[in-house]
Amino acid sequence: MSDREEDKFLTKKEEHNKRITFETEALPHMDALYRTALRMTKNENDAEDLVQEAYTKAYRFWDKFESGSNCRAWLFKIMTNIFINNYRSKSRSPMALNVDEIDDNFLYGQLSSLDLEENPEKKFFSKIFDDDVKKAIDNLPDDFRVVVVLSFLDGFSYQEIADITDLQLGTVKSRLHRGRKLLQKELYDYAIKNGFIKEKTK
Amino acid sequence: MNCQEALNLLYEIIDKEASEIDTKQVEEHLKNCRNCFEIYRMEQAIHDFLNEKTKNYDSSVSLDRLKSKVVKKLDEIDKGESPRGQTHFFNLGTKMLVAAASLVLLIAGGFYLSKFYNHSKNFLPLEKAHWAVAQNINTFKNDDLASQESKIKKLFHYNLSENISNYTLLGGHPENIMGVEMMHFIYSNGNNLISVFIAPADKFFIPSSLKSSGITKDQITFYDHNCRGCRLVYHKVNSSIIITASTNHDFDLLDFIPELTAI
Repeated sequence: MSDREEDKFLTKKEEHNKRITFETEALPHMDALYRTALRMTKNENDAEDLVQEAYTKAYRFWDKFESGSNCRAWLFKIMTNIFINNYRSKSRSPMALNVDEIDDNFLYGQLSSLDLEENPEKKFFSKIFDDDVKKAIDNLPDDFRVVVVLSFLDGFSYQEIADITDLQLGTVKSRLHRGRKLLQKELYDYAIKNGFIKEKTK
Repeated sequence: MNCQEALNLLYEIIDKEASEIDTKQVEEHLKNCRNCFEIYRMEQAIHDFLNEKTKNYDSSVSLDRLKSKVVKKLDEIDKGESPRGQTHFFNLGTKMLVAAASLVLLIAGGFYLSKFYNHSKNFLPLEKAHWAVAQNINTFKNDDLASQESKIKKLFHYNLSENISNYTLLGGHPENIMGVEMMHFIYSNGNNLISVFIAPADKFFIPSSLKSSGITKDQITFYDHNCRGCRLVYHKVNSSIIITASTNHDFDLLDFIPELTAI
């Protein structure tokens, strides 16, 4: 083999090595990425596309990933970035506009005034199923939903979420806070609509 | 600390993001304030409820289809196919140059590329199987070793040694690699692992690209595939093909012969 051929051979070997480390370090996070992608995009086709795009991009930039650092957070950053740029609906949800009219600790305010027995939330929760919570999360405006999902589904810390979304720490906190308020309102409205609890008489 | 201050810290406390001092002060406040305590209690309950509900989401969905799609994408990148949506990085002149250069490369490198296509087809699956175990031994599902050994004896007329050099047999399990049911055994010397694959010779073949480069030692002919990621050594005994695999290139796999006795 000539030197040049040898070089090319070695490059190919390195690519092969890259493939193996990528498959062992990055691919095991597919479960978590897909679950999150599902809640971000709200449908299976988009979620699959999003995960594929994220992995394709991650593989192209694999040499930029510092081995030993947090691979999971790095992958989420790539995926969240693609979601925000390519999938997020551009129009502002009307819900986002009303969020500041919702009281803090909304559910507490509603449930505690119902004069139910001790721990009134227990009865409330027992009627609400996984799918109902899923729907409530899906109804959140994109900006809030991303932060809520990264916190609740994936258990990332405020700082990690800030790194993943390229938002200020304060913005992360406020979106999470407002996301929670909206969720509480959604679930409450749902419970009223289905007669699980009766609205207090005015 | 007053009520407003305590409630401002509510979610940070619940998310375990508050400082130790803040947490202490809030705890103090809650001891003396029934109202704040009730709010905290309910918010914590809501948090736990949402957490529990979201944790189970879609955890049972099978990702096999998605996984194979992603792997296919990686293959495309490995083969150097021009990725969609990246072409706009180049202007026309560069595009022409790139096209011309690729053509030259394609012809000149054709031979090597075909070699690497063969590589990923013939060697990579075995390397991956070994690599997965070498990275994390916990991924290796160990079946009943004695029964596996006797199975090997019966099916392939092959005896497995408990110890080779200073390596000890750890365990084994059946594995389907490249569509062939083979046995995968693991030897360890404490810090390095060696995989031994035993495949039926009528179903599994030594890659033809290695055929010209056999090394004969102690009357056995070995076929050596040495790659930066992993080294594979093939040889044939009776009705089985034995492949040893190691990521440690200092160790000579030619010295690592599980068992020679023909039965």
